Amino acid sequence: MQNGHPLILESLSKILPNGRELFTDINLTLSNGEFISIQGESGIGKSTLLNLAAGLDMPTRGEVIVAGQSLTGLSETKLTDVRGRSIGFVFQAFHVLPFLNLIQNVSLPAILTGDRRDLALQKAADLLHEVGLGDRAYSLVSELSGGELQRVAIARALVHSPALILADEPTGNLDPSTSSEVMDLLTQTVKSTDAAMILVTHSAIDAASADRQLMMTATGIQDLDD
Amino acid sequence: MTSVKQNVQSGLIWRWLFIGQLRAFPFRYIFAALSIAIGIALGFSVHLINASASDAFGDAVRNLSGSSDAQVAGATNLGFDEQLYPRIYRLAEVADVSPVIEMSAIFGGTGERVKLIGIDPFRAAAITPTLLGRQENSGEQSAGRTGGQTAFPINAVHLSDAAFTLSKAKAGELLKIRANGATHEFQVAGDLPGIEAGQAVAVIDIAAAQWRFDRLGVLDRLDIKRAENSTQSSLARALEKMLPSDARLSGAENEIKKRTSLSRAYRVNLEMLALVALVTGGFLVYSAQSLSAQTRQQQFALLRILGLQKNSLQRQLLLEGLALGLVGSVLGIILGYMSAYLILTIVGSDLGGGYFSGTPGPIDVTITAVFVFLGLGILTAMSGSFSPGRRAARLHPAQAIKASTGSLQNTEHPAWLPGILLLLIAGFLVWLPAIDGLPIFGYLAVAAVLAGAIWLTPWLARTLLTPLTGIVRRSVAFDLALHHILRSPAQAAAALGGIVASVGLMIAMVIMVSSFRTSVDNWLESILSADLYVSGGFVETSFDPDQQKQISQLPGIAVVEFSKTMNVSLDPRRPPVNLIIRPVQSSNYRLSLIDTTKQDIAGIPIWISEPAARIYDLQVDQNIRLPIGARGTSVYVAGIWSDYARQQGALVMESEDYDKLTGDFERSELAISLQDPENVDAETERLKRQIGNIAGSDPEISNAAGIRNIALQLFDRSFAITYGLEAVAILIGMVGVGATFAAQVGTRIKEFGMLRHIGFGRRKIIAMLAYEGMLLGLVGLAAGVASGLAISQILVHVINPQSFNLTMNTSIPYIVLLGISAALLVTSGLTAIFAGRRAAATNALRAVKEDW
Repeated sequence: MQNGHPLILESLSKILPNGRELFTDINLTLSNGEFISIQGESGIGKSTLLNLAAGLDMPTRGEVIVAGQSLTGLSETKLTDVRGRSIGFVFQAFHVLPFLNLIQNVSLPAILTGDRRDLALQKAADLLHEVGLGDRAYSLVSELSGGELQRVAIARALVHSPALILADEPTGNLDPSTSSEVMDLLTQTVKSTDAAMILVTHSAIDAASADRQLMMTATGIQDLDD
Repeated sequence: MTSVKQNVQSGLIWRWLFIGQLRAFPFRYIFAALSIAIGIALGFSVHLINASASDAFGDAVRNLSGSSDAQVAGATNLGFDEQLYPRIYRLAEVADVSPVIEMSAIFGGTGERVKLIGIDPFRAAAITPTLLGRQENSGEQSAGRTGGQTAFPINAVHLSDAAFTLSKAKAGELLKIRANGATHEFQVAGDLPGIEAGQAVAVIDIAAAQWRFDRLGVLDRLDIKRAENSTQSSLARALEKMLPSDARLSGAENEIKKRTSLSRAYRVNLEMLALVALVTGGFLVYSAQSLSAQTRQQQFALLRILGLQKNSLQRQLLLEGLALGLVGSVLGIILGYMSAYLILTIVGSDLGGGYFSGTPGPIDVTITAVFVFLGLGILTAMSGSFSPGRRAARLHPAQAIKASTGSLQNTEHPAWLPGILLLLIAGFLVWLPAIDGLPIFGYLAVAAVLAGAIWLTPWLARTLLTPLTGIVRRSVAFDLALHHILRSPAQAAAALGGIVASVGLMIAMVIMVSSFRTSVDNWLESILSADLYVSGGFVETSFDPDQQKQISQLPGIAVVEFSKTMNVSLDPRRPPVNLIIRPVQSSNYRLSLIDTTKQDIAGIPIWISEPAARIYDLQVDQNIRLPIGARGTSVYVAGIWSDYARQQGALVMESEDYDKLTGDFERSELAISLQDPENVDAETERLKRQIGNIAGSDPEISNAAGIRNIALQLFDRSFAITYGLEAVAILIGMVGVGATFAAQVGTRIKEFGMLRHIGFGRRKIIAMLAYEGMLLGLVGLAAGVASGLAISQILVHVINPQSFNLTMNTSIPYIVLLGISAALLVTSGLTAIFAGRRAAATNALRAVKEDW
């Protein structure tokens, strides 16, 4: 685990290339183990905020600090390095590589950050066991259901012990019952680590499982708990 | 340390990803590797066959030259005065000299050709022992071991193994040999154990050669051994000082160099043609890798998000190219070796150029050649992977992971400037001269045109197809097809790279060969003005003035004119040119003049062929010195004529001038105009008999139509290998169209699923893909035809003149081009339909849900 807060957003503004101001002056600080959810209308800038937090996009103004490292002015290589070491991702569309088996998929981030192959595979096996797929570690992706695929993605997001998990509508492609299972698993698994998590969702139920619920509007971010 | 560690980890991920891709799309990769393998196999086999032929020729020359340190050879077939022999023998730099007579001869009975060599066995024993015969039953070589007795009777001949086979003679039998217009009988005394297999050589005593074959007082060659206290250069200097004009300093290595230089342009062109297939393979790798990168766009985005560096991603695709290139090259080298072995065993080493007609040598595979071809294959495949890798690495991961396959790689306004720049570079390169006789810049210009055309393909697709949006509004399938291409020109370029390369090169080759053939045909038409042409062979038969008079009085002949062809060396470093003695412009002989003198110059005129003018940099009115007579003869260039028959160059001299200069009135060829040209077949038979009676041997008589047919057959034979290579390039290109399109359709399963959900039936999807195939085919065809036309002009006006020293006029075979175009369009449409049927058969619901 890295030093400092997993994520600090300071006076963050984003103006799109077409001149549209997406949001302005957003401030947000996440502590270790903290879980927040962000809701909001489509196109309001939730995913863009996640991209900025991940160093996949650059703010027009303001600063992003991930695990004590400011992303301002970092080279592409350094940004990739920070992302690889400090952030785990869970996507709506799972994005699991179809030609790798489950354990290979899960171990990818650990291997990319420089873990030895056997160590990475061991961590992946442990996490697969934790998400209930321990006996299917060598199965191919095509044999899995949507809910199972998202469990694989959750395991992958945690394998390299990141400081921050970014989950972009992780239940968007799942039925309500599976959504609930996956959300429970995601919350429990992340809570078992010291990682902070931002969940972007349209689901009020999913959002409610967070420590803090934020609402993103055209005027900025409001804390629904206040 | 961290970077080393990360490299190792990247290597592991690379293996996982590559093996995963291989499992998912095996045929895409197998095809890409095969296209590299075919190019390498063609190039490597042509290289091995040429090397084998050159080696065999070199071995033969060295074998006949023995251990001589230098040779003095006649500058013409007339040889040089034998008085030169004792003068050279007396030089301090010379230890020993062996005089040689060398003639082209024919065995009586079988009519097979043989090299007839006359030697002094006592002199040859020290310098060229390989020419010494072995007496039948004695087991000993005939000179030097028989106590000074002549073991070489005046009527004895020793034959090499190949000569025994060709003559069908046995030891002790009498064998008729015809050379220099005379036929004599010799007794086969034994064999020539020192002569290598495959060389047809007959050795007789030098005195017999001079006396029997009218060469008294002359020699053709002196094989010289250097004195111990002299050096090679001092020997050369001493010899050069005393050589008369009709003799040249020569040597085995020089002879090899001369012959190989004559064929070098042909060999290089063949290898270049073979590599055309490799270039096409490279573009197919590019197509395959582009599509693969498009298919994996979201995977790459994911990897980038998870922490894979940009460079590592680009390296990923380059390494895939390396793996493809390595597998393809190794396979290609094995296939190339096997095909070279088969071709050498079954066909021989002459790949159609007519330069090496002897027995090929063994295949000698050098490590250097293996590594060069291995490197070429890998480099080609990696080049094909470079651009897709760079594009993949440049993708914005956050956008790419949410985008549909391929959508991010498209641009509304494709860049055209780099393509235009490449074409301008090609335009500049064509003006640069050949390097060491090789049209290197010409080939670079071809590469630049191809690269430029492929670069401009997206722009061309947009420019050509945009107007259709306003015209055709009848079919939804057509509209969808059109808009798909217009919105994704980069995808179109990926599919079309291989097509443009193969169609462009194919069309260029077709136009070049057609231009060459038409020029040769027109040239033959213009020069073959007589009804019949009689050849007694090159020098084996000649007609003396009496025989010439008898022939001219034969009934049925309207006009007969005599000629003679001999070799003349204008430059000892180059192969000799042909000196043709004949009337220059007469009823039976014509020259196809390109340039002629406009002045009235005193002196002896000669007319030089276009290759001779280019090789020796000669112009009309220029004076040159011919090595005729001990002091040489000054002549001036009265004209330049086009000649497609003699690549080494030819000169024509008026018969009267030659007669005055040499006193040699003998001729070996004649051209006849018949009184009754309608009855040519019967007249041919009659004249053959009558001329045969006068000459004492059967002459070869051909009519103009026959010569033209044979010449064109020879032309087609010499281009057979190029047709073969061309066919392979076309095949690779056509299969490439299919593979590329099928792969591209495979990336759009989701789109088809969606279309079927909204009521687009299977038939409409297939129709849409057929339209797309044909529209893409149309764009590929336009780019291919345009680049093909440009490349054909580079071949016709730059590469051929620089390689073979001859020019030609462009002749476009419209019918063939229309056929190729139609075939390509139909292939594109059919392939698209085939791929579409498979795609439309996919479960629509599953397709829509499919992630990747």
